[in-house]
Amino acid sequence: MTPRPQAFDRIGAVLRRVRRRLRARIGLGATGWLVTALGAVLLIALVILGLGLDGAAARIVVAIALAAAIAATVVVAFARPLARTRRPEAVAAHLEDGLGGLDDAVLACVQYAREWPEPGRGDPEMAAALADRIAARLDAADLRAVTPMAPARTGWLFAAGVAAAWGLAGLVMGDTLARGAQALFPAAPSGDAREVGPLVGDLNLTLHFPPHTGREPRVVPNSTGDIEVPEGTRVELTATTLEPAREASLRLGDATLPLALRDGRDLSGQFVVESALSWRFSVVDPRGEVLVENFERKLRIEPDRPPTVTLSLPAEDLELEDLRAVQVAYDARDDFGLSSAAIVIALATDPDHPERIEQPGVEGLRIDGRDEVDLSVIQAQGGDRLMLYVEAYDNNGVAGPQRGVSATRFITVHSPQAAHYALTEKLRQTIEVLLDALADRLEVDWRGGEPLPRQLADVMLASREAATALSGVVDAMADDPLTPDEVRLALTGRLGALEKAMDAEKTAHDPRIDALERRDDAAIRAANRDSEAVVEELEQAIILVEAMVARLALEDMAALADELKASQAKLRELIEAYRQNPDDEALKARIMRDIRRLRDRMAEMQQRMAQLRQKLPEEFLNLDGLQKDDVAKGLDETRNQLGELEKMLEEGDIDQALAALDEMDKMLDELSASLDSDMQDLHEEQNPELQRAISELMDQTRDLMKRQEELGDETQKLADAEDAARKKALEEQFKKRLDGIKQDAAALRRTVDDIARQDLSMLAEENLEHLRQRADELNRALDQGQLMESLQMAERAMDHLDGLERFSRFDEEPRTDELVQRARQQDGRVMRELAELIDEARQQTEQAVPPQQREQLRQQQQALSEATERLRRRMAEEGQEMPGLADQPMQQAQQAGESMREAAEQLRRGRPAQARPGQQQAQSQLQSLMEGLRQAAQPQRADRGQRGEEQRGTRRRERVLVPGAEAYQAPAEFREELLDAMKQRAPEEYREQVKRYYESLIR
Amino acid sequence: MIARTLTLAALCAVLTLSARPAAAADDDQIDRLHGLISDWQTTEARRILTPLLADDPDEVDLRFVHGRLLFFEGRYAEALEVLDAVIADMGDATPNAFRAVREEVAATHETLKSFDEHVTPDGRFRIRYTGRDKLLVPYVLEVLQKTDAVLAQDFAWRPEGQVVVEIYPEIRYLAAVSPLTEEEIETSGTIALCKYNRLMFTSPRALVRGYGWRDTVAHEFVHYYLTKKSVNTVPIWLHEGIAKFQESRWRTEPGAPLEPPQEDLLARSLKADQLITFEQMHPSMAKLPSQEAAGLAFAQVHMVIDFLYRRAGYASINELIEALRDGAPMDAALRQVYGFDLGGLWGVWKAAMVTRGFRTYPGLKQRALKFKRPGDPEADDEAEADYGTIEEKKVRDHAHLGELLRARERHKAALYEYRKAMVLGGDGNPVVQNGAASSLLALEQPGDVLPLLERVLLYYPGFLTTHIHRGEALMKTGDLAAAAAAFEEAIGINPFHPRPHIALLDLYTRLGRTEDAERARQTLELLK
Repeated sequence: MTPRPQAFDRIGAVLRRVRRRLRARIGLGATGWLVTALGAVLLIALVILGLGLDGAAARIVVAIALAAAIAATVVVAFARPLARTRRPEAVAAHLEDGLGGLDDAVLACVQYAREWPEPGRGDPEMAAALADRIAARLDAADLRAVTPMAPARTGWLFAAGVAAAWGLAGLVMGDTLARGAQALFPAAPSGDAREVGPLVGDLNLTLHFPPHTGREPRVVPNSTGDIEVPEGTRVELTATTLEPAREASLRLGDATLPLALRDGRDLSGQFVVESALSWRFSVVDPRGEVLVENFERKLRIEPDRPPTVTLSLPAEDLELEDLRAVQVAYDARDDFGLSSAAIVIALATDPDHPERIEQPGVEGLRIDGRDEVDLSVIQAQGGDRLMLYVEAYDNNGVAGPQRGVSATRFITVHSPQAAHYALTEKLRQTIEVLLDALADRLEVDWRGGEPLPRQLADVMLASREAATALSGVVDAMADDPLTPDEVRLALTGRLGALEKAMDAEKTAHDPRIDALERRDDAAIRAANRDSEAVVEELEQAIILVEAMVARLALEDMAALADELKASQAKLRELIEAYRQNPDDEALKARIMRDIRRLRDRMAEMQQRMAQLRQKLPEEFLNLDGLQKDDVAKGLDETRNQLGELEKMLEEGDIDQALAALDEMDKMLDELSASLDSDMQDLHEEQNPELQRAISELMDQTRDLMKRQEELGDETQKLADAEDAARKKALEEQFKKRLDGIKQDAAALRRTVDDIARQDLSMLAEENLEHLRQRADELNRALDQGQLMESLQMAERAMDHLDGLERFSRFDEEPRTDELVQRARQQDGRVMRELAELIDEARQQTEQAVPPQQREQLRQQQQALSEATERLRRRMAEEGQEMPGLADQPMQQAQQAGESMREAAEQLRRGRPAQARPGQQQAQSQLQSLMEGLRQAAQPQRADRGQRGEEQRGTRRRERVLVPGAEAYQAPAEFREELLDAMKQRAPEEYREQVKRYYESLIR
Repeated sequence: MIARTLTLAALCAVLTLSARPAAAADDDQIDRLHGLISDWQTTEARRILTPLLADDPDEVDLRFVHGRLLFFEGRYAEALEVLDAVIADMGDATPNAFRAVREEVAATHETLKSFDEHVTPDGRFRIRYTGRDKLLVPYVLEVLQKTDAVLAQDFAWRPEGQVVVEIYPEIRYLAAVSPLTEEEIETSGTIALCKYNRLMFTSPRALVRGYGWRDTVAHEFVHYYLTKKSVNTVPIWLHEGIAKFQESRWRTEPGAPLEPPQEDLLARSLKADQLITFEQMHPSMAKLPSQEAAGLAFAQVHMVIDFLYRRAGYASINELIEALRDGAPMDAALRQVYGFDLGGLWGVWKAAMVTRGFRTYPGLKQRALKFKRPGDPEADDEAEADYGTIEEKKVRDHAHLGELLRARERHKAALYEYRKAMVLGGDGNPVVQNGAASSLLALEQPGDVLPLLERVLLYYPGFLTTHIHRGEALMKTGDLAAAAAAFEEAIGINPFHPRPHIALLDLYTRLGRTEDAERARQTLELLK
């Protein structure tokens, strides 16, 4: 037997490889189709179940559908194609189709191979030759190309489509799918309970709603068990089992709740709804088998929504010019009811420490609220940005009240500082305009370039625009309380000079336009001269504006530093108070808010300082305080300290917090001192004329003070000499007369005692008591040689005698009136004698001092008075340029001059002792003038309102000495005494004389 | 500057004697070693100490001496290690002086431990620096090597061993490693010291306007030579005088005239007969009450040496130093060499100075060194402009207006303002003149710049901007060599300003000075 050629085996091997590949392709494709079918059926099933077609029947339908899909796919896509590959001829045919041009040769070879060694229908040699050729062809063929895998892709493409459908369905109807899944794959019953259909009938539910809903209980007869109720609802149920049972219970989610069972059929029980869940009945039948329902009853939570709050007023964010009250109107609603509402206001930068204004009478489902909020509740200040909103709480008593919040409105309180800063910035910007105008002028090409009239018109326009810009700022400064007058006046003066120069140039320019057009030398020279005048004014304006910008910035910072100090002091007080009441949360909130505000201000200050460093011309940076980085560092540290402070307070470390505040205080003091010093340096640098003038005025004042002091000493000597002479005269020449007066006074005292023994009315008794005191004082003063006091007491005694006389008229006792008349006579004698004695004593003492000496002192005093007046006039002249001189120093000079004139008049009258008060006053006023001049030499600060007053209190360390009452005790007392004395009445016959005497003393 | 450490050495010696056990090494040897170290004779000290230590390595006094020597050799970490070991061994018995030395060494080590260093191939110089001061190294070396060569010739002697040079980025480093406080440094303008057998100087980047740091380095090197040659016997006035006289030797012949600020100061002081006595200069120029006083003292002692040099040259000066070294008192040494004592010297010198006819310079303002605050930039042209040199407000205002206009590139207008300032305040103000020069350059009028800057160049040779403006003008007029010289002068004041290096890179390239061009390029790299 001829052995079968190997070529047939090679062909067979190729066919097997092709078959394997074909089967792999079929498997791959079938899997794709299977995934597609299962995915599609499952998706449809879940959607249908999720939409409500629930229950065992549905699950069965789905299961059948799935099985059908699998079966169909397996048969169509797998089993049948696979069967087709079983026969070699089928594979050979596939191979020939794939390779082409073989004309059933492979098929023939397959048959030859099967029939070998007795080929039925051909020559074995030819068959072998054919097999060789075909085997060679197949060896060379690319079998991958013959059996591509691409056809398997179709099933997977469909699977991808189904996957996309899943994704889309998940996005659009995720809940439905979840419900479907839950229905399709219900949770396995716990334990070994058997799932069955419904176990109960006649299910009746009574729903007891939570109190906050305000709903009455509701009965749901024949319920399916699917209910939706608010959280906290108590559900009472009754039902009848379909079959007798030994026990019954509810399966609430994972929990089991035993039910009461009566007569083996009637169930009852209750539970409180705390969350959404499913529930089922379970019973133990008489055989002991546990049965559970194979479907779920749904228990859903009816939502309780938080209140909705609508803020109608303020309707939008507000900007307030001042700290006026803000009208607030709102509307709050809730589905079950409101329990409280409050208007809440806080610093925008510190929302964690708000103030709440509780609204009264909040209840029901809706309120329309209206209130007026005083911003002082949050201690609002100018520059603050506040946030305001309304919050309302519902009455949910189960999960706790829920909060609803309105929209937030922001309220910005106008700050003069912000406007002032803007103005300062505008002033700084004028430097650029002025510089441009200056540069334009300096760059005029007088001998070439464009026609001169055009060039000059351009530069004149630029100068005019610069002046207008400056003028705008200066005008605005008039309304800015934070710009010191001296700054505004200085700028006004400089602006005036600039405008004057420009006007002069303009006036001269117009007539010479033609000449300039021709470049006439004389016209050019004249135009150049006029332009130079403007240039000079522009230059000075630039220098001044720069200095004023620096000055304002320094002052702003100094004011800010003062404000910080005041805030810090206030903070300290609050913290001290908090230490006493550590449970006062409102106070703590206020402290926290103040700390935050302080930090914000500090940040503002740092920003200003950084700006100042940028904007100041470098020569001003020689200012020590600004140069030193330690100022900025100090501010940084302080801000950090404030952060620490917050922490300390949160932790209740009050002592450390207070210590930190002390540190801050020290730093702020240093900062203030540094800024003051810088401002003074700048002031001196920029106002040399003022400094020189004030220095001269101070020299003159110092000279006047010295001369007045010397004159005062001389006058005192003279007064002492007169005093000594008067005492001597009293002791020697008038002793006898004085003794006589004393006797009269003693007699008066005795008469008063006599009157006291009478039966007097109550009013008369009171007068008598005063009379007795005056009589005692009269005697005492006479014993001490005090004539003036004696006279005064005698006068007052006379007044009381007048009173007694009036009251005694109605007494039944005639003796009283007689005694009163006697006393009047005695007292009148004392007064007369005393007045004469005083007059004579005065004449005597005046003779003790030579009149030419008094005249000399008078002349000197007069000369001083005139010198002071000259000084005042000079100050008035200088004051027009220097506002610091205008107020207090001028007044002091005027008052000093008046006091000197008064002293001179007393000296003219020969009364050196009476000249002394005037001299002392003049001396003191000159000293005050000196202080005033010192103050005037310092930069004048802007009036910053009440805050500014406090600042001045701390800034102007050199106090102006205003003479107080204690400084002039003798003259003040003297005057008071005299004035008091004048109020008393003297006896009619001496009244005129006494009056003249008093007048002479105080004139 | 120099400070003597004999007191400390003597104290150490006393304490050493008291602390040593009876059987210890030879007292005289220990004493001698301390003396040698204090007099910076470190090579000799090392030669003696090495065998002694080998014989008795545990001897605490020797180890203490070793610690000191290491410190004077600039080997701080090793010194600290040795001293710590000594103190640990001695425990409570450690003398306070030992602890004081240890603290000083520790402070120096702590301050400088992060510094980098460069040692020259021949080992002669060890330069320590930190950060950007690296760029100074080649320039410093150039000065040091030139100075070393001329001083060896002038002093007819050359100290052995390695020279340690330290460059400090801020004055606080100088304060940390020396007995001077920062305040004293600022007041007196002390920016360099030669102490503890090493040269220390502050980088020009620590000063707002820079300073003539090259002469300063040379100055301190002279101190180094002098201390070593004289075995630390030369009094302060002579020390400073010789150092001042010799500080410019690396670049000029001996006898260079005083610079105008010093000449002006000396002329005015001579006229007012308000000179600083030799006694007032003791113990240190840095302790004088102001930078102006220190400036005057330096001018005086400079001219004293100039006087001695003119009288008998270097030979006599060396003879004087040697006499002092050999123990002769100053008066005797002076008499021996010059024929007059100190009082006589003061008299003849003053008389000679009067006849020298020193000039005053109208309008010249003495400018103090201005130290930078932390955070100030390294090269800041604006910072150099100091209105303090202008007294008249009107002049200052015009100068300021000029600056404002120039900053806004209104150069023609700026020039008008500068000219107004010049009309009122003269042509000797560096701010005004340089402002005008800057505007002229911007207006492409370089030819007018050089005459404009003549006077300020004379008055204020240390004003950086003047040199830069001159360099710019010379470049524009095509005088490349002179322009390069001007920019080199600028580097001599503040090498951290990039402009001179940029210009020099260009100039050197055009002049064919490739090595210098490469150095400029490298410096610019470091400045990036």
